[in-house]
Amino acid sequence: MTRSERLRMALPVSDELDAICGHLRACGFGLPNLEMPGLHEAGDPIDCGYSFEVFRLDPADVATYVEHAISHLGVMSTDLLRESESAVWRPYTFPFGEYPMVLAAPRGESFASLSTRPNLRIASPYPKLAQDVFAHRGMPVEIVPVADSYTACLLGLADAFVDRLMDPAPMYEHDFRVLEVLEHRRLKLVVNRALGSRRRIAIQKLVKQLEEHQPEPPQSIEVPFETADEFNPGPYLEWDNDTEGEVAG
Amino acid sequence: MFDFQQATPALDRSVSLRRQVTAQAMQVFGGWGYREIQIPLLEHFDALKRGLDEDQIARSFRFVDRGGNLMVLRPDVTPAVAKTYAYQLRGLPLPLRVAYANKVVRIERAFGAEEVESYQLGAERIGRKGLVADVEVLLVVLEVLERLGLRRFHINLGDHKLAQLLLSATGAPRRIRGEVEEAILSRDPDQVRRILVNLGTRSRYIDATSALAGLEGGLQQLDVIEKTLNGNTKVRERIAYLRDVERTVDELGYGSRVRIDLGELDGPGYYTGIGFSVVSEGASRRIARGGRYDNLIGQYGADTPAVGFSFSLETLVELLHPKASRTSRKRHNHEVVPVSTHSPADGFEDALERRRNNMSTRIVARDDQETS
Repeated sequence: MTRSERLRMALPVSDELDAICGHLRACGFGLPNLEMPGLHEAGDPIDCGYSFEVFRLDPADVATYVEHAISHLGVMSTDLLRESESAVWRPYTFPFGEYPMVLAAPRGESFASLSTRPNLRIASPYPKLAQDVFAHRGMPVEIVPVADSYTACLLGLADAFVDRLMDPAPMYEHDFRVLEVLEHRRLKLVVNRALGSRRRIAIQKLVKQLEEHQPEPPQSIEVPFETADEFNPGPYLEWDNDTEGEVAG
Repeated sequence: MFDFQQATPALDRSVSLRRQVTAQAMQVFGGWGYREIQIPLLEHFDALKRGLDEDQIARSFRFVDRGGNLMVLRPDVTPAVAKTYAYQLRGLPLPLRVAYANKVVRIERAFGAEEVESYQLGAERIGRKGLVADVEVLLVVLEVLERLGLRRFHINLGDHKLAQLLLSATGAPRRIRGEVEEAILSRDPDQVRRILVNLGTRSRYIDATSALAGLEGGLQQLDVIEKTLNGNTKVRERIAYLRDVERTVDELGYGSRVRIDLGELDGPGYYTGIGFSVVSEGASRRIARGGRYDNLIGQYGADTPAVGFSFSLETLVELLHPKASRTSRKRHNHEVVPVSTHSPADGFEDALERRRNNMSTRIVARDDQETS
């Protein structure tokens, strides 16, 4: 098979890599051990006339490789796509990898209380999303681009954060609450926009196979909103049965 | 076929290639009766802005001149041509065919930075609606690409009018329509459905609109929409028009080059009918873009239909440059003419003789005293 008869697919080295590989294996792909860098042959299990080559990439780089036609397709999450502003097609949504993108702040804060701060600082690994959210509301904020938004808020670098909510436990542990779910981050198959007709047909076949072999979606994540606190008193408050309200612990 | 051997050498080979590509494209435009037009780079913002959409304005460079006027460096040639026609050229017999090779100044996303200046080679056909005009510009685009020797390219042909009809039928407010358009451009049918379901749109409109985002062939997309919205006369008429365009192009032997792709809705907000992009698997950016804009000239004067396109010179050079490099390496061996420093006349005679025969020549000085 010549080079021109190959379809190159970039897979992200992320928490979802195992699930993505599992999904592709269910479609018949004989994926090798992706621990090794470089291109790996994956054959043509969907009988599309192209042999697949897979390789691993940093999750944030996938769209760049796909947009510039180094890779024909790849897998990338919408949160990173938004940050990269890459122009790629997204013909398939994976049934896993969906997480809420939230604006969170220490418990007791609200949009109103945050907006009264003279220099509101928002920590986020997603600075473009954070900027858009507050620009849309006409609130001047300073975005603090950090990878660990919890630490940034806990140590006073920022007043609130915008981040992906994968697990609500740290929220309760650090006494943060979600003020708003901004959007849902999803995992997409991303495709170069300049593909020829034959490659487009091959990718249509792949999408069809992925749809037919979808695993069960995982349970949705419980979002720890501020309003949920009346049922879950925080670590510094106790429930008073007489007054049926919170009192200082 | 474009002859790279004849490209005038320049220190940066892309410079001569740009010049050659421009000349070749303008020659094709001229061959189809398009006459060159010069448009000023600097425009009064208030005069031009009626033809620019929000995105174009946001990406433009504006400043106040010494007289206190707000000026803009032209971010797109087509609105400037439309303004020039409405203000200066109105009254000329229609259709009026104009072509240009002009610089535009706007912020474009590129690798890790932003490009500001770029060149557009384009043509506008002013004054006629319908299939003949639409197919004519497609043929001009195809000839330019063929003359340049490009083989791996496609024209994706969409239709802004059909998309607008479908989006209007969903009942979505303007902001939500923008989100749906974004999802269609990203070929994300799931997202289109999600937005419209949340909006409470009826299922047949959801099916028809999400078909625009599919990767299926354009004729299949048309079938789905026609089947789903059979009662909508305007939609049916538009589908019939697109089928006519597709059939005509196919009969001319370009069926494999031009494919209907209803998700091809990219581009400035002034497109009102067909819209197309030229793409190549080897290029990260589109090679050309065009479409029908029947309301743009009306922003500056009397309503006049028009259709046009522009090539990105940078993308053409990016695609052609490797070919030019390969061919240029071949010529070095046979064009060398040694000229002795001791008696140079003989060598120069050889060089002049080669040049009289229009042969490439490169003089190499030979120091006879040292070698003897």
